[in-house]
Amino acid sequence: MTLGVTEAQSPEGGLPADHLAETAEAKQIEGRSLGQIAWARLKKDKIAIASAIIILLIIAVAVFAPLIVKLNGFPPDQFNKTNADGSPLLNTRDGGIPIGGLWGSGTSSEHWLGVEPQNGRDVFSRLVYGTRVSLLVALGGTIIAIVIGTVVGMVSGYFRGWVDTLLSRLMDIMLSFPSLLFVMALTPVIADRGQDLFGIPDDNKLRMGVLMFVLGFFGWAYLARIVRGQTLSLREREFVEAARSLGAGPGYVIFRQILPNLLPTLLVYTTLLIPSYITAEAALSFLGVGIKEPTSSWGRMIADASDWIESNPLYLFFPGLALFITVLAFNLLGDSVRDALDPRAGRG
Amino acid sequence: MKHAKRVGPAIAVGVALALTATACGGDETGTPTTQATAGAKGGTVTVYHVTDVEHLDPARNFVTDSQMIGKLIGRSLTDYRYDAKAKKIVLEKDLAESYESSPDFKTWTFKLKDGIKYEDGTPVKAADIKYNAERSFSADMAEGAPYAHEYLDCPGYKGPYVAGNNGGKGCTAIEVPDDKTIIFKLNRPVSSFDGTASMKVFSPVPQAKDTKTQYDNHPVSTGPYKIESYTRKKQLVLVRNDQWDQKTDPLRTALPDKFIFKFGDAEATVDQRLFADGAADKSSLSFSPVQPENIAKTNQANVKDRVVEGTDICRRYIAFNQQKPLLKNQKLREALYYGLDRTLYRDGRGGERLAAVVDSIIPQDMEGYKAEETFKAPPEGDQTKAKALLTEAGYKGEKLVLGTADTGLAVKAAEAAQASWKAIGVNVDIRKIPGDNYYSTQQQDSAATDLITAGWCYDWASLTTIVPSVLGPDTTAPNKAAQNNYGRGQAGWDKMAELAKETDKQKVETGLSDLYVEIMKTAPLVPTVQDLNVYVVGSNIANAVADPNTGGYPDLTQIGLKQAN
Repeated sequence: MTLGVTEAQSPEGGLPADHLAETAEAKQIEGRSLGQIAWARLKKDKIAIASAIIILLIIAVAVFAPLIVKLNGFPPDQFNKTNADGSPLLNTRDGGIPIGGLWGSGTSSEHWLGVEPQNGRDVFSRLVYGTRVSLLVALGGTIIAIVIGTVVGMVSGYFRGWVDTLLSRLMDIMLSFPSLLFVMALTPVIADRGQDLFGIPDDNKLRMGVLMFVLGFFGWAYLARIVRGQTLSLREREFVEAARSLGAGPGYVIFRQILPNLLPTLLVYTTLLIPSYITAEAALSFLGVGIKEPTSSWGRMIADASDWIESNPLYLFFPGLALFITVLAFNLLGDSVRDALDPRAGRG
Repeated sequence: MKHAKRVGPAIAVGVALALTATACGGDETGTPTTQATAGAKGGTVTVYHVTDVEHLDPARNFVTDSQMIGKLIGRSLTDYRYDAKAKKIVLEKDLAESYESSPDFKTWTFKLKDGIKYEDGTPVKAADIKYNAERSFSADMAEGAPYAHEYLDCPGYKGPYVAGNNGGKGCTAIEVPDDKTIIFKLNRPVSSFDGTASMKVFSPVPQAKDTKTQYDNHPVSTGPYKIESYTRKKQLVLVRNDQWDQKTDPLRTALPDKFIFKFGDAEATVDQRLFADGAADKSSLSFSPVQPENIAKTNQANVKDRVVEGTDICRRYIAFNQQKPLLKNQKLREALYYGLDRTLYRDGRGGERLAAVVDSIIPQDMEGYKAEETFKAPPEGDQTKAKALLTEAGYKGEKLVLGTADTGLAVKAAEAAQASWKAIGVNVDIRKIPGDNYYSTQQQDSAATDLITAGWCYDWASLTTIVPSVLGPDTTAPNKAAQNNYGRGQAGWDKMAELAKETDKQKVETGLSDLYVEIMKTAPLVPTVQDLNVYVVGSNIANAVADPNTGGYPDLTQIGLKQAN
């Protein structure tokens, strides 16, 4: 999906989206900046609005997780044995499958999405808390990737010469890493050995940090290439020349002249990176190198549930659905943002 | 035997219900159930096992799964047979024709049977048994049963591979006056040494065929089967050893002509195959019990006649590592004892059909077992008492690390323990350790966790292989805990040393039984569950019985096929 970002640029590097350094040209023609145009387009896009609402809801769920879980009264890591009326929740003779509910999932007025087999934890509560992990890791990883990618890309594109050569080769190296394998190998090592080597306890704060770091660390190079390309073209433009001739230093030019013009690209890239990191976190947790028990994570719920698919298919369905909806909403919003910012689309 | 080492599927087993296996003969008319018939001779049995076994070399074979396979290949001086009809574990003479001990139980003399041969036809000599016992002294063979080097009176001996085998004399505490007689001189009275002699370290290994650590790949057979081919982590094929004589062997019926062990298929996959009972799997069985998620399916019409259930002599527990400053506090240990909801723990291990709550690490049907009377904690735990004790202990939310082997059921059970301790306000973190070096990690003082899940199966029916092993000192190093004393508690060690000198068998057993109660007053560990195993076997399998003395695995020494395939 990141290919879309490159499509957004015209061959010469695209129109500058300089709503800060407004050019006379843009004023003359439309009287509106690209940002304003894009916003107007987005507002008309029903899919974008729907996706945005879903995303806001998901963020609200993550932020207010403790309050939401109070509604049903089951903390996410509490093992439950009985219903409110004292009847057993799980059939411990038959391996601990939930009793009753839709398709043997134990759904009831108390446990809205059923309970986990063997331990009776509430699936709804765990899904709600799982949202936090997914979003936090994805956002953290995205921020790291965007910051590193943007800085390295701009420096490389602006200074050119040996700096560019060095950083571009670095990007090539990063891009040629088998990053999934590397992440799988690295995460447990850092998390487990952290204890032995550095005395850092292997808890989930550390694990989330490690996940963010590895995702971000292996994700910046692609963005850096795009940013470098755009910077190469932007630095030749008149407003940059003007600023330079007035004595502006590289720091000023990079951050005040070039960076604002990169914002549309970064915005699109962010909306596309977040869902891919949500899936990556789920995949890593599925493979057992992500977040540890008892903190819930969608990926691990899916991994657990896959064992029970025959006797309790809904257990797999709910975390799968949550992951699907979240990723789809981010992807659709990302597509819409890209379309809205596309300078080649008819202005209007 | 077994440190219940393969904590996952490995330690499980038992008293087969519904099993009316007869030693031989038996009519098939009108009894379609697998277990009710004795098998025909011949055919090939396929056994699925989720991993390869660690060691088949008799000097190193000390884990339940490899012991079951080892029983087909090699014979020791004595061995245990599970009598499914009487539901009794019986000690039989295997290679030994007769044995006797001196009145002080420090000298044991075994006479070998006539006509025992290796697979190549050469006769088995007493010196070969001596040689293998000596091998178990060497550092390369440390995985095996420790009893030869613990009990035999040859201090400083390091095995046959170093220092010219003690100048050619070997371990001087083993004497071989002729080819049929072997005498063991012990450093302490061991009144149950005839049980000790069932350990595989007391099996013969011909010195000429010894390839040291490589011997693992092809131990020379004295049993009914010999190794035809062995591809590590993939497949082991055993075929009939025509030098084995049924008449000398009270332990093995050895009905099939061939065993194929297939390693590495996931348990759930194997479950599906055995449930389906397809043409290729009619003569198959698995070393892994049915997984919890598939248990409900054992009630299905086409499956329920093929179910084999049983338990084993192993007991699981969580030890409190008293080397950790926090856990030196007895009140905290007691709080953890009361706080653990063992029914949750049981459900983590698969629920009532796969596990049962226990209150002692001594099996209930063993002499010397006493119901737990000190704490009287109910199976669900006692949260009120636990919380009160926590306050007394001055616990302030410090984090404790619970170690578990990284296998499905073990992790689920650890999560259950974590949740039930969290309910009383104790913060527990789980540390998963790969199953193949779980115990060796927990045995290192520096790497051991605060709370240690473990399991123990006695080596022979005597408290001397439970109490000192799990709660006692390392006899070779002062003030160090025994290899499997994961709590590292030192309570009762002086009394244990006294009992080690006792020569009256009954006094030793009652002494240890009382001592266990005393030691448990210090709450060094909390007993959790015993495993129950549920197996589904192919429809052509006859005489499937779980052997409680060998980790509860299906007893391959008795198994047969209804029709040779």
